[in-house]
Amino acid sequence: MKKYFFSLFGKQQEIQNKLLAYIEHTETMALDMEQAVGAYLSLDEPEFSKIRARIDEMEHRLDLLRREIEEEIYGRHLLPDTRGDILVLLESIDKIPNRIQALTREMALQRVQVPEILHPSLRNLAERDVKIVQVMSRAARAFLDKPDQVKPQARELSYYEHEGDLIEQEAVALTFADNSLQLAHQLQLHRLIDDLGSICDIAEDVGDRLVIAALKRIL
Amino acid sequence: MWLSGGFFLGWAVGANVAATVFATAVAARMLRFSTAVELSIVFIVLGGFINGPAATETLNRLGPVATLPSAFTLAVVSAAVITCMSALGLPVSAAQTGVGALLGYQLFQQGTISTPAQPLLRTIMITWICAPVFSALIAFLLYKATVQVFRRLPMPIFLMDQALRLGLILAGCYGAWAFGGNNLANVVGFYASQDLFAPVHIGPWVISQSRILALLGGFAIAAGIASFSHRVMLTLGRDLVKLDAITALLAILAQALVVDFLAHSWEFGKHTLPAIPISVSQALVGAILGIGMARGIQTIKLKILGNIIVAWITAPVFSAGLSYLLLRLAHRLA
Repeated sequence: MKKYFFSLFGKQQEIQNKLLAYIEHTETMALDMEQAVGAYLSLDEPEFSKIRARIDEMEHRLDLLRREIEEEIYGRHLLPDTRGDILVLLESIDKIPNRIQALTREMALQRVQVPEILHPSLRNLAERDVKIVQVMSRAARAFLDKPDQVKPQARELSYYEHEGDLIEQEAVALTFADNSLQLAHQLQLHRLIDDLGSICDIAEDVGDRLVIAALKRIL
Repeated sequence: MWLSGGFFLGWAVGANVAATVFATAVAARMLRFSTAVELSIVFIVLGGFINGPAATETLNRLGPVATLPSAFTLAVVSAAVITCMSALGLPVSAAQTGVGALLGYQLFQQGTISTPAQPLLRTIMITWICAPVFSALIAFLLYKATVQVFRRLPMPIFLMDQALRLGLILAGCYGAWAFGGNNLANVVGFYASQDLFAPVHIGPWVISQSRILALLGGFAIAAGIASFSHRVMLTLGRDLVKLDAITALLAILAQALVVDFLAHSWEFGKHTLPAIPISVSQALVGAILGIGMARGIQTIKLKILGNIIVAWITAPVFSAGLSYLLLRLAHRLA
């Protein structure tokens, strides 16, 4: 019986450590994405490819880690409520590495030429993405450690998401205002801006889900 | 041979009623069924051995059963009513079927309920009504106190999970202990007035007949739990788990407190409240309603209340009627 209890609680610690590692790797991936955007805009092809390879590898590692966590969660290790909350957290955060990988892949495949006038907006948007992923990670850690502190982080997420929206709108407006660009090119740029801005939206969604799960926990 | 009726009753109680205490933990897959069975058996037998004789004495005072064949008949009737009502999904109580069977026996023997037994019968019936109410009240207060504790001391999610998990196991053990102390009387009560076993001397200790009966009854319940309680545990547990782990834990704790309280006799000034066997499943339903009220859920499910009231009336009436008919039939055939 003693062995049973200790193995059970040891497993919980293991799941928590893996979750924290998952959150940390997601943050690292966001930083890589910002560097990838910088390299892409500077037309530094070798650097961009190097970062993209790193992102692909990290996304694969995160997939494996997510599966490991899910398998352990579905074992006899957590109560149904906790199991549900952790799975929601994991599934919603998982959209960020997937989106980052898809974004850099599209950049590599489409090789869209970005006019100089859009560079500051795209750099700003990538920077906002990093910032919002960092706040989201703080919120996720708070959910695991101090669920009552998730709400203020979620408010911060909404603030950054709004800022991201403004930058995105400005970039789209600049794209379509430039008459020297062909419509197809404009639409390609629009999609790139959309994809970059969507990371803010996903992070805000994670925050909303965390707030609901945390409210449920603090009775 | 006549003791086999008691074993059948113990088995029915183990298979249908005793499952409530570990139902949540097993259905949530946080405790293996085999571990739940082991813990249930240990704590039910211990609780019955240590506290069981008090409630057995109460049933014996209600109407001692004169012969072994009569005790056998009453035990079989009680077991049959428990099995049938459980199959119908009603929150049946071994206490109510047991008391019903004893009343049937008195009606058969004397044509009426004896005058000395009437005040005790009144106390028992009032207790049956009050037990779910008190269970609801305790659960309500426990929930409010828990909310305060969690608000002041917010816990990391995994620590809370561990605390709840451990709490569910401990509450289950306590529930099993309380169940053994309170409900074992329903299994062995019919045999309490018989002279079946000589006291056993082990060193300085003397184990009386009532404790030997308690041990045997405990083993019969254990057989019921080990053989047939898995399905009941899963069904009950899924219903409870829907409420969430905290509610399940507090409900089991409130139920166990009430059941344990009534496993002992208490002095209140000049009045004595004897140990009274009650329905554990009805106490549990009361506790769940209490937590529902604490959470501000205004709509009490009338169907659940209706089921309790139906069980309050039908279990003793069926038991009394069936035992009366069987005893009369046996008397005519003899």
